[in-house]
Amino acid sequence: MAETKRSYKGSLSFGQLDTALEAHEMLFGTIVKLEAIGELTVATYDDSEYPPLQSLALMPLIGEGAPPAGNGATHLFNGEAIVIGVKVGVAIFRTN
Amino acid sequence: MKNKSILIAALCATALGGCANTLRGGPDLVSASVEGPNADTRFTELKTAIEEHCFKINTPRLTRQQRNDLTDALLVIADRRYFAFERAFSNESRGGTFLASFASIGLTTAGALSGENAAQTLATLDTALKGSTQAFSKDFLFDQTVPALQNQMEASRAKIEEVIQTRKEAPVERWSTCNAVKDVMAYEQAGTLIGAIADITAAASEEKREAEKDLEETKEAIIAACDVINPETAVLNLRFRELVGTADGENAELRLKAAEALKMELTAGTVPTWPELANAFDQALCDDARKKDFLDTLDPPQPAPAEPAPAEPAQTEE
Repeated sequence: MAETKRSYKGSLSFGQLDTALEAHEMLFGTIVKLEAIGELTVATYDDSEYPPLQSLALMPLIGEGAPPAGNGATHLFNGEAIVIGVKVGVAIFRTN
Repeated sequence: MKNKSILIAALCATALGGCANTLRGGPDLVSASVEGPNADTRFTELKTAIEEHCFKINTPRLTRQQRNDLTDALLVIADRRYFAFERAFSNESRGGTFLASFASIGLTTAGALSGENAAQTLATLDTALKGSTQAFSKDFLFDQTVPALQNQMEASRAKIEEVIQTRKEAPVERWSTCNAVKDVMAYEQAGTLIGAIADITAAASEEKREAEKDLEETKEAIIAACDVINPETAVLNLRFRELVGTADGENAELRLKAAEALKMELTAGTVPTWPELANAFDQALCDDARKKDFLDTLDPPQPAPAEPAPAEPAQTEE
């Protein structure tokens, strides 16, 4: 098992960040952590498992909690990200 | 860190424009003139000694023992005044006067503080806090601010006293009487509110610098993703993974070919692992078109099978 980290510019939108994370999951494995460090978003990947293509979904937290999972989606964990320069709570889902 | 920041904000984020000269609470300094009940009978002699040893050039040099005796005398006076001030400050803080002060009942003056008058000290604190845009509960101020200031004063005094006691071993050539007096002045200053606030501010600034340094080191240690990542990138990444595989030793020839193309530095005779290849691939090729070219080089696309020519329509004889 190897963990890999990548940082992403805080200027990304939710959609751009989602796309970038999905792309890196194909190389580095499942995302296991999402943090806001300074003005950057930092993701940690674990190569124990590789998820299917385009199966990741990011949603902003509602208050302190994750929004309800959509049809067939599984809530993985909550994290933080810098989205368009603003630190936001993020819920990470795996979709079918 | 957070508590210190809040405390500093409480004390400094005021309409008074900071706390530098606002808070003057503290004991009477041995280096300053004292009148009335706080006057010390030895003050005149000590003051004379200070002037003699710091401001006059023809004063005969004291011996080490004499210097140390003078230092001890100054320390004793400073301690006595500090303890009197600290006791009054502490008593006022615990009693209703403290809470009343922060409830802003008739205590708004920013006048200079003198001697052991803790009520005035608190009144000045109250004034300093009034300009703050943040809301601070009385409980917070009572529970956090006063003990924090007291602790800081104690800590700073102890630190300086330790230095002074160590320096007493030094010959007068290395630690002059004037230097001793200056150190006692620093010791006194540490036992004042403004000294405590300055020390807390300095400590918080240092912690902030450390935190920023840690943050920068963390950021530098993490590889930055490419600026532009498209949905197509995921497809290309997946293609590369499926091409070389993730198991060690899998597709060794292809991995070596990929490593060479990615300009990876390998130990002779080794085959790069998948994580090594994935990292190199991700960092070396930020552009999807280049990724596609790279993959096509590794695994040339098979030419599409030629479509069968449409059958010639059968000629019918007329």
